[in-house]
This record gives sequence, structure tokens and C-alpha cells, in this order.
Amino acid sequence: MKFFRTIRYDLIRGILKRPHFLLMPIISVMLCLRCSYILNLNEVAGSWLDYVMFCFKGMKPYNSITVEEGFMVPLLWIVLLGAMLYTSLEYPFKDAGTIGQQVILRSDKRIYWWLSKCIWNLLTIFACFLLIYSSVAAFCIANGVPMIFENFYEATNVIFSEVNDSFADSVILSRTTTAVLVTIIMPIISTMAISMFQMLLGLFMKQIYSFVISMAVLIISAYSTFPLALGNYSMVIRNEHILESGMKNVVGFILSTIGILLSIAFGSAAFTSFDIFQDKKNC
Amino acid sequence: MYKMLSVEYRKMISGRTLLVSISLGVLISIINVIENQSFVTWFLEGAMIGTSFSTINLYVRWIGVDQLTLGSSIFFFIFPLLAAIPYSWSYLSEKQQGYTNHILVRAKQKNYFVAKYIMVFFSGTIAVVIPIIINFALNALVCPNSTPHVLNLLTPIGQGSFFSKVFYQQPLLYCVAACFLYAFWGGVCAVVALTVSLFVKKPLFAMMSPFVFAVGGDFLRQLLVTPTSTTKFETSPLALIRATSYNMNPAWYLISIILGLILATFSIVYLKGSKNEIL
Amino acid sequence: MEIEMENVGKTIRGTVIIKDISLHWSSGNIYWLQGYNGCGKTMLMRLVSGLIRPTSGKIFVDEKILGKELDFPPSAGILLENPAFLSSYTGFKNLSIIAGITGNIGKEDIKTTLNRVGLDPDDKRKYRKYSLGMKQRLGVAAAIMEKPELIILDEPTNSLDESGVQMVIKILKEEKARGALIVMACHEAERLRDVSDAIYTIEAGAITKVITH
Repeated sequence: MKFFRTIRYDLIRGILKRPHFLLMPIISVMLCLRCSYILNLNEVAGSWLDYVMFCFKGMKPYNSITVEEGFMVPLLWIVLLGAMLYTSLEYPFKDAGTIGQQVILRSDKRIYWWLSKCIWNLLTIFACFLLIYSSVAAFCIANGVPMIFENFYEATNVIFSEVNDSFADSVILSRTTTAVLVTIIMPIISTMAISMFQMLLGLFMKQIYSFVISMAVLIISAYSTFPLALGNYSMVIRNEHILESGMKNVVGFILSTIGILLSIAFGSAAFTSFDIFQDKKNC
Repeated sequence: MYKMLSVEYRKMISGRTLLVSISLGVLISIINVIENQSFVTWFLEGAMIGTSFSTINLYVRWIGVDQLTLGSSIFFFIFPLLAAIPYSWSYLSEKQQGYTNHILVRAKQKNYFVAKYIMVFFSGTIAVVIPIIINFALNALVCPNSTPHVLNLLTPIGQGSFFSKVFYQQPLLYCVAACFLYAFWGGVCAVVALTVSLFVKKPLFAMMSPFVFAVGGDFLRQLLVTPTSTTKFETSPLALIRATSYNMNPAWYLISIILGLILATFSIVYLKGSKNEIL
Repeated sequence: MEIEMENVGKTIRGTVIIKDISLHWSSGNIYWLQGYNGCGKTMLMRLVSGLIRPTSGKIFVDEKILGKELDFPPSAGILLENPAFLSSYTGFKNLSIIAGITGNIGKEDIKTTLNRVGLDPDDKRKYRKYSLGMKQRLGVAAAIMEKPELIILDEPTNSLDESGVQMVIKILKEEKARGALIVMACHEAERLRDVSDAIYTIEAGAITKVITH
């Protein structure tokens, strides 16, 4: 019972009472405006799914050997994911530095505190995605964009113009399960894995360092299609259903799930043996 | 004033955050060296027959110029954070802990803020320059040393770039100039964080502010770019930090921006800091 | 509740903080830890509360090993170091949030506790506007509000005026009568000597003298 109360405490304090989530609708509407501009420029119409795919587009796989220009960080994608990682950054350890000692003591078991924070973290990322999808939906409704779970070929061609000579056969995501996999499941679960990793790092170092490392993970993911670079699976443009020889969804799902479980397990083991000092201010 | 500077210097140098920031920067710059090492080996095995040594020479592959490697991409993306981590949070932290009370009954308020500004600036410069210099030294063990060729397409320095003539004639001098440029940018990022810390309550947000401004500025820029929009000079904050850029970034342009930012941040810190009541 | 320590030691980064402490505490008693600043009183209280783990030895709480069979004592209220609460909430709201974890008490109990420590339950001021004395009183309230079996108070009279010190002494007597096991560290030597059932003198992390009444 105390465990569920601890979770409730974290959900109220960590999700409902935090203004950080406002970043999601702001950023996603700005991305929708950009997408709308690009589509209008090419005189094509998109659907809700096209707009969502634009938000999580990312960049085409980078080849440092044959490329003629330098590596450009995919800013639009990294800002969106970075905002989510920032939202899940501060709360656990800020809380521990204030009222947290009283909460931990009443949680009965140290592992309950950690598990509660893990659940909070996963739900935070999920809430961020929900806000993004809802904001895109609101934008689409306001602009008369069809609210359907299918992308239009012309729009997809324009949005992913840099890879349309190597489109996968299934690039038109007319099967709902495929669309859900590409635009919902894969981005959410891979981002959850990175966020959990960031929180695990926060147990051992200041939050600013864990944020720097998670940003480095995102850049590594943009730079390389190495399967363990989990950020790859949140880039729609690299999905196997968009790009021939793209990232395999099964591999991404398994690796992300393992990443989440390992973070929970290592964190539990570490936190169980930690000394808890209130004045250990994390920054 | 001298005593105040001395106190701030000792606090800055003895802190662990400076060491951590430098270590992080060095680690990331080593990634660049490792990538260069494998690229040079691959090149020398005959992979790029017909291409000159300009492709692999030290001055092109060094992190300060290179734009192809993962190491340089990560380093310059988190450059504002590396600069702000060592000491920019110190004012806010001292104020919240009540330490400023001890200082201000013993020294003039404006001396405290001037000394703080100088040391924060200095911390930002060394946090970024040391990894860059170490990277140069390590790359010198791996990459051949030859004067870059102006016709090499892989060299991202063209007409209108920062000290472009110097790069193709006296590349070592160029590297020294670029180090100074990066040092000043590091200092600017750190004092931007200090300036923000006068207005916010969370040290974490103050530390991240230069990064947020740089990335946010680039984000807005990418949202607003149109097919017909061209800028003669570089406007991307993240690209401005680098000596190499796709748009023009001559020395006078970069120095003007840096001086402008220093003037603005110093004015704010001096005026607001000196006049504020410390509660 | 029975607390037993067997040869408990704590070392942090090579520095010995607590040295080979053995003792036995039981409910319905007040144990006063006294010693100079930095002698290890607070660390000992942290060990008993389960917030830190001993480097050597064992701590038993009702015959269960703390840190192995138990993470924390099952029913404990603590005031360690400076009271720390959420600055944007009132005192009442802060206590409600904490009490919501265990769910053992309701709003009326919280109001009663606030009255006991001399704070107004209807005070709309946020915690950040509290004076040091008010923050200390709120810290005491958080430690006693759920009527725990173990109460740990580190310098409970810090920043308190005369009425506040009287309040703490009164609360100690009441909680003792209720059957709580109270461990406290305090510099109010004259007044607390009579209240305590045993006085432990700590020097350099070790117990050098025990006086029982």
C-alpha cells in the first residue's frame, strides 16, 4: 500500500505540478508550422500521421567516408528529445534534497522509492509523447488537416525527400499496426530507455553530467546506425518501414526494453546500498 | 580587488567541477583522435588513391577545424555546457547557502561581482581550451603535418572564413588564433550563465542557459529558413562558436559579436549585482 | 520497540566516524546523546534511522537486522540536520504530503500536531516565508505527527525561543508516556538531564560514558 502511495506522491509532484511539460506543445506546434510550410511550398497535403512523422523525422544515416559535407546535428529532432530528457532530469534528485528524506523513510523499503521514480520516469516520457501527439492533433484540426492514421505518398515524398530513392516498400503506412509501430511504439520506448539511463546516471553523478551524457548518446545515435545507439529507433526516417535497410524494429524494441530493465535493476542495487544525505545537493 | 580576485581564483581552481568539465572535454576530444587514427590508417592503405595528404593532415583533422568526426560534433554541440559547468553556478550557490553574506561584509559588493565575472570568464576559457590543445597534441601523433591545400574540397575553410588566408599559409598560427577564439567563446558562454543566474533560482537552469540559447537559436533559425533566404554572414549560434562555418564568419565579425556579448553581460552583472540587495 | 547495536562502526572515505558502538534501547525511554560538535551524534542517529548503512557490525530493530531484513525502522519519525520541506507549500500542506505516504493519519491529526508545536494550522504563509524557529517547529511536527514508535530528534531546540524549548520538553514527556523510544541530541544540558532516562557521552565516534537514571 505504501508503495502505491509513494507512486501517487511522485505522480502528483512529478507530473501534475511541473510546468516543464509545456515545452512539448510549444515545440511540437513550431515543428508543425515548419512542416506545414514545407508541404505548402511543394503544394502537397499531409495527414496527422505525416505531421507526427515530421516531428520525429531525425536525419538520414550519415556516412563519414563518402559524405561531402560535415555532420550536421539534426536539431529539430534533438530539441524535441532533449526537451523530454530535460523534463525527466531534475525531479528525482531535487526531491531527494528537500522533503525526500521524510518520503524515503516512510516508503518502508528503499527499492520502493527507486521503483516509484522509475515508474514516474516512464510515465513522464509517455505523458510528453501524449502531449506531442495531442498538440499535433490540435494543430491539424485547426488547420483542416485530415486526422487519419495513414500518410499520403506525396507528403511523405516531400518530408523524406533526402531518402526517397531508397524508400522501403512499406513506406505508405496504410496498415495501422505498422503506423503505430513506426510513429508511436518505437519513439516512445527508445526515448524511455535513454531517459531511464539518464536517471540511473543521476544516482552516481550530478544531473548536469547525466544530461551531457544523454545528449552525447543522442548525437552518437544521429551519427551512427550502431544498433545500441538507441536514439536511432526514435528517428522515423531510419525506420525499416521508411528506409530500405533501415533500423529493425524488433531489435530496437528488444534493446530498448533490455535498457529499461537494466537501468531499473542497476538502480535498485545501487540505491539499496547508498548512504542518504540530505545536504547532497544535486545540480 | 586583488584579494577578491585571489579568493575567487582559489575557489574556482580548487573546485572539482572544473576538473570534471576538462576531463569530459578531453574524453570527447579523444574520440576525435581515435576516429582520425582509423581514418588515416584506412587512407594510407590506399583507400583514397589520387587524393592528397591534405585530406588527412593535422590541421584539417584537428577538432578545431574538423566537421566530419563524431568527436568534434559532440564537443561543439555541448561546448556551451562544458564552458558553463566549472564555475558559472557559483554565485547562485553562494547566495543560496548564505556565503555571500560573509563576503559582502568584508568586501565591496561591486568588487565581488567584478572578480566573480572575471573568474567565471576564465573558468569557461580553460574548460574548453585545454581539451582542444590536448586534442591537437594527440592528433599530431596520428596525422601527418602538411600545409593544407586550398583546392581540397574537404577543408571547410573558404573565402570569408575566420583567418582563412592564414590557414593556408601559416596553419599553426591559425590554430593558435582559433584557440584564442574558442577560449573567448568559452568565456562568453560561462558569463552568459552567470548573468542568467542573477535572475533565476535554479543553478541547473543557469548552467544550461547558454546551451539552451545556442540550441534554441539554431532551432528557431532552422524553422524560419526558406529556400530564398540567404545570409551572407553566419547567424547560427552553434556555428558561430566554431572557427569553420558554411557562411562567412570573418575575424572582425566574430570579434564584434564576442565583444558585444562581453559588454552586455558585464554591464548587467555589474549594474544588477552591485545594486541588488542580497536576501 | 527494541533497538540493539552490536559493534557498529562507520567509515566514510577512510575517516572513522563511528567506532565500535554497542548499546540497547527500548520503548518508553528517552536517550540523550551528548558530545562536542563533530563527535558523531548525528551519524549515529542516521545509522539508527536506516538512512546510512554501518560499515561494520549490526543494528537490530525488534530482532531484525537493519539494512538486510529491514530498510528502515517500521515506525519512525525523524528530525535530522536542518528541516527541509517544499518551499512553495504551507506547513500544513507539507505535512499532508508526507503523511499521505503512510496514510495513517488524517487532516485533524495534522492540525492537532501543528497546534502542539505552536504553529497555526490555518497559516497561509508558504514555507519559504517561515522564520528559522517556525521551520524548526515544523520539523518537530513532522517527526511526531504519526505517533511513531521511534522518534529521532537532532538538536530539536535549535533556533527556538523559550516557549519553543518548553514545547519540546513537554512533547518529549508526552511521547515517552505514550511509549515511544526517543533518541535525541541537544545542547540544552540543564533542562534535558531530568527528562532523559540515559545519557550517552560520545567522543570521536565512540561512547565514553553512560549515565542512567
